Amino acid sequence: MRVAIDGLTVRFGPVTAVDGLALEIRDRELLALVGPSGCGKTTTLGFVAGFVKTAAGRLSFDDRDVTAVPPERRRIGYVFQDYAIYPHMTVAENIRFPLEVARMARGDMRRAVADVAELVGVSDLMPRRPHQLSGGQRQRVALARALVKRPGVLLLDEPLSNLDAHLRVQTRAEIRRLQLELGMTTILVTHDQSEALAIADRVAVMWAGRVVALASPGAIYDRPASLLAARFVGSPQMNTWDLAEAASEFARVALGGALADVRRSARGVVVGVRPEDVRLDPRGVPGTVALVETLGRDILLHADVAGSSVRALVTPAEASRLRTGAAVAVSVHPQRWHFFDADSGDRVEPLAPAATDRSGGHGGPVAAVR
Amino acid sequence: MEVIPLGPLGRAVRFVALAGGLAFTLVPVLWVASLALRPAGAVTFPVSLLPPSLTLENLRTILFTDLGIGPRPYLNAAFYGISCGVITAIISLMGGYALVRYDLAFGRALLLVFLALNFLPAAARLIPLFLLYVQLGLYDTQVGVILAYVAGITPLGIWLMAGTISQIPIRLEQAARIDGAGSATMARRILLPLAMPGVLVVATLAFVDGWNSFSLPLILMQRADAQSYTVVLQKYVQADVGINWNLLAAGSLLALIPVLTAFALLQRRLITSGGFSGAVRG
Repeated sequence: MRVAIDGLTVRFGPVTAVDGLALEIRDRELLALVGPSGCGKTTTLGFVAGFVKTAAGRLSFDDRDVTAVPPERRRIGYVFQDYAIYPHMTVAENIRFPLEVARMARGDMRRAVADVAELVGVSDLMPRRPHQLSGGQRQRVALARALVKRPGVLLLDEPLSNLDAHLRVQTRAEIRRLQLELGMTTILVTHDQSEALAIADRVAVMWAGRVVALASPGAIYDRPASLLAARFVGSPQMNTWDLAEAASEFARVALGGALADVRRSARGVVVGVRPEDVRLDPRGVPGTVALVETLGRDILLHADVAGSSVRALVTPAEASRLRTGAAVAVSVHPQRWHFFDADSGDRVEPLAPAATDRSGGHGGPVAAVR
Repeated sequence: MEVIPLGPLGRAVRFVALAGGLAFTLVPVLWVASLALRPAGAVTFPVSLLPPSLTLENLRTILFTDLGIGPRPYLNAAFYGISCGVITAIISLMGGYALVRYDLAFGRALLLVFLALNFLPAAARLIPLFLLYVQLGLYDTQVGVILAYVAGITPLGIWLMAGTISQIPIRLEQAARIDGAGSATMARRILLPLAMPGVLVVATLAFVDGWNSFSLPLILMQRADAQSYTVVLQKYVQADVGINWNLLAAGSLLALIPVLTAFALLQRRLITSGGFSGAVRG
């Protein structure tokens, strides 16, 4: 089932939680709605569910306007962040509840409940009550209850945030597996960008009530359409420098000849490069190590280079002799820079001068014209 | 549950305080029981707590002889009390829910008003109520008595139910809606089972309040055959003749039984409800 949101604006008193949002979720896709706390993602999900009432906004399921349809008639599944399973019922009764409300025949009900319990992995827990279950188990029950009525769309509100780290990784894969198996259109709300990148078909990055980027995980990561998305997606966070500020000296030096083209592409430019694209290079720009962070598989190096703060992701082998205060030199591969308009935050490409003339130099221009 | 551990001095003080409080409450009751269970006329000064001998004679007199009042007054009080309990529970549940769940501008103010009304002494209501009843034709009717009871205890009931319902995570109601439940189904399958401890408390309080009520039936009910035992027991307090302590005590002792039973049953229910653990994380 396709879901389309149009012109959604939600205000809570003086605060605008969602600002003119438009979004289309394709049939059978898992769309992740990511953003920091307060960006409006849960409010948007609440709108799709029917909990959030607003004067401005239209919602359609498969081109059918459902804006005025109350939640109980929308045929959606919702997994709350805190599970919200009924404490006075057993697991079996919890899962069965939506079917009982729909007055399904007893035999069909039993089969549907058994099937979904099997799918989600709670078949052994049927006679237990919620207070006898662990957090992960309760979440599965919530999932089973949401799926048992074969909803048109599944809404997940930060389903993994209450699980511990390992369980999170394991469970998100299971959710994805389930979603693919059932072909269920799903909207996943999360503040964890790695979760979104890991399992979504497309990622929508939200900020202050708007969608600032919408693309597949790969595209969002490699070519983020906005500065906000670039800084939010990817861990460790992208290095960014506003060319108008003195602290961007490193970028100016590292770009070298390409700097002129970059400056031409917008009135003000913010330059970015991901730490994994900053490499140790004896012929690079010299600086000193400020901090060495061990991340296990990688090392995150904080360095002061040409007056700028630069973070680089390097291997333990490369960093083995580096300590605070040691001398380093770093450089950036020419294709790995990101450029953003300082006013709008939109991605920009450096503009080559009118002729086909391409200058060489340290950074090298990217010749595409926006 | 986290408690502050007490040192030996603290425990001693606690023991004395509890013992004192318990004595304060229990001694009068034991005294009444003692008076009720001793042979008639054995009430002479100095009065002793322990009866010289035990007998059920007084209880039998109260219930089965002309000297007594018969079971009727107790049945009347039970009827009024139970009716009050049921009606108050229903109104309180609905009122409490409305005040807690709906975003009413005057919602919080109203809750405070209800709390304040609860402190209004029954005596202050009597005369106005009497005048009102005569005008409305409710004077000397059973319906009138029940309504007066309900009006008196409902403010507290709404206040208590509002508290109970505010503890039920609204998420559960939202989850029920997603599951397709309309308001009626949600109320029946989710709200009511979870609010039941509160409902039982309110119903019991209302029952006990009605059962014990004296001034209201005194003023509002004329007919002897529909009168509550509280008023009828006045028969044993006659200014000119004297007070028949034994029978008065016996009549009062009988009145204790339903109340004690109600609280005994209620206590078990409250403890086994299990609370809302497991519903919502945290």
